[in-house]
Amino acid sequence: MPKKKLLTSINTPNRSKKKKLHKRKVTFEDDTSIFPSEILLNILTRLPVKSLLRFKSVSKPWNVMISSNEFKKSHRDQSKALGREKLLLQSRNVFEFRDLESSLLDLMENQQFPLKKFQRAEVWCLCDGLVLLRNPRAYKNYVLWNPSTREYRAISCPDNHLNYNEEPQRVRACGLCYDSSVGDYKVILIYDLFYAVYSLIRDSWTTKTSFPCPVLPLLPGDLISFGISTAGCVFWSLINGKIQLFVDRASTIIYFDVKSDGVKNLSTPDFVGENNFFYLASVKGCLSLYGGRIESKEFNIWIMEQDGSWKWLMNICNLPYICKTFVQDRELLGCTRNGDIVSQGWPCCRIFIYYPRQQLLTETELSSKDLPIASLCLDSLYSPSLNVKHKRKRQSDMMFN
Amino acid sequence: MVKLKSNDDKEFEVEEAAVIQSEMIKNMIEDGCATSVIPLPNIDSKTLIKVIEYLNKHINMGKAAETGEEDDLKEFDEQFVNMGWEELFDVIMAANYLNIHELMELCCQSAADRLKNKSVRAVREMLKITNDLTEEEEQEIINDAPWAFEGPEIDDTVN
Repeated sequence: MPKKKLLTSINTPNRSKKKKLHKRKVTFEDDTSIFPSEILLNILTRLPVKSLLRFKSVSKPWNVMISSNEFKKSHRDQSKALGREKLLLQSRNVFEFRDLESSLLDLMENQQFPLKKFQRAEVWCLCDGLVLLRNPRAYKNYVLWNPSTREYRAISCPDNHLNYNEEPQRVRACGLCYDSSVGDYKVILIYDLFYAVYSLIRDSWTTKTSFPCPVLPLLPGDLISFGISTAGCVFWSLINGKIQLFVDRASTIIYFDVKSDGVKNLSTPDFVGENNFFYLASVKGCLSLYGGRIESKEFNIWIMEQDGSWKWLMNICNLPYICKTFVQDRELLGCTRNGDIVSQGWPCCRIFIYYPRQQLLTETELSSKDLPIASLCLDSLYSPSLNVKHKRKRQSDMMFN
Repeated sequence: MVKLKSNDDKEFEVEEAAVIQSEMIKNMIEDGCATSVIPLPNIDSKTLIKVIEYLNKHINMGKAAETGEEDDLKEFDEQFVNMGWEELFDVIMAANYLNIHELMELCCQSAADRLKNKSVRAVREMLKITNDLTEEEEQEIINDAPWAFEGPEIDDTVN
């Protein structure tokens, strides 16, 4: 073992020398439990994040395994497969988490964001378990937050070098997505002449100018468009130079593709006909379009399959309003484990759940005090924080082993 | 009919349509290795009875969706996993050995549901794990997320 000999000959303090000599990598196969590790993995990926953070202290092999990137990935994929999502609501400076499995959407927990200046931040985008928050009082300040692990990272957006002497440009649209090839999450901000991509792993921004189509500046009162995240892509639609989320015959669907780091066009599917009004959403991890004929009292939900083809998912009928009003005023949040469709309504704080089997639309009023901003948030171990801790200590007890 | 023999020498006759839900036995039959009795040296008769009960109920899984018996099957599954921890452990090991995917999913989910709110001490006891962390290491893990160790749901009982 020449490597070990080399280590002992280097003149280092006794403590670290001993540490290196005694260090043997603990793996999950060292686990002493009654279950074989493969079965234990199957069971543990089904546990919520809170339990897993607690069970890190069961033993060394458990700590190593739960902290590993492979486990985080399998756990997130299992979370997706099991539809383990919570309803995230924001009311003033408190974030509420509600149980989608319970009929009255029971309160699971309340959290205040740890950084004071972000306590009233706007929820911009969600992807898996990560939330992009923006401090409304400072145009450059963002935070990536995982409410399941309660970890966060503050990031500031890139300087706008194109307009030195002018007012800083406002963001027109944003998005958040996962790059499976490198296991990285990316934030994308679209301005009018360029867009910027932030990599969580590299902790840096790249600015790109090759936007496929001109984007008009936002007028006062225009809303920033929060893109729809699916596996490896973020989607918006473009109508008369404005980035939106609604889709009709005249609009173009655009998307940021994480593999090529570029923004591309997607042709509008044929089922979007004349006098039709659709909206973009994410259902079952796929890009979805929901809507139909403007005047009809029903709408359809379509999802885009892996190969890019569109599949009809379901029809929602007996609407209390015409399709366009309903689709415009209700944001489709997603689909629960049982296949029920969850949406939220404006301007009052109501959550609508449609039960396809009974063809029943119910509404739940959550509180009367505020207007909650709701999203579905996946239970995930992915940490947005930079890995700087855990370097200290541990040597002393290694010495006595 | 296929004959299965448990490790305490008891024989059980099971319909082929039911037993081929086990990938392992299905492969044995396809390879022509299941001529008379299939010995299962890892499974005792008590556990095998449970597994056969499951296989017989799930024999017409595909049909259930058409005839609207899904709820019935769901209810059966809920009742089925209503067993002691030791018993569940045996069924999981048997399902793993026989490679019955659906049964594995059902039982692992049940195990996860039971462990979910347990305290660290209870988990160690239930899974017979020796704690090899030093006090300092353990404290460090607690300090990283103290809130994960608190809450009215946390249950220190072992069952």
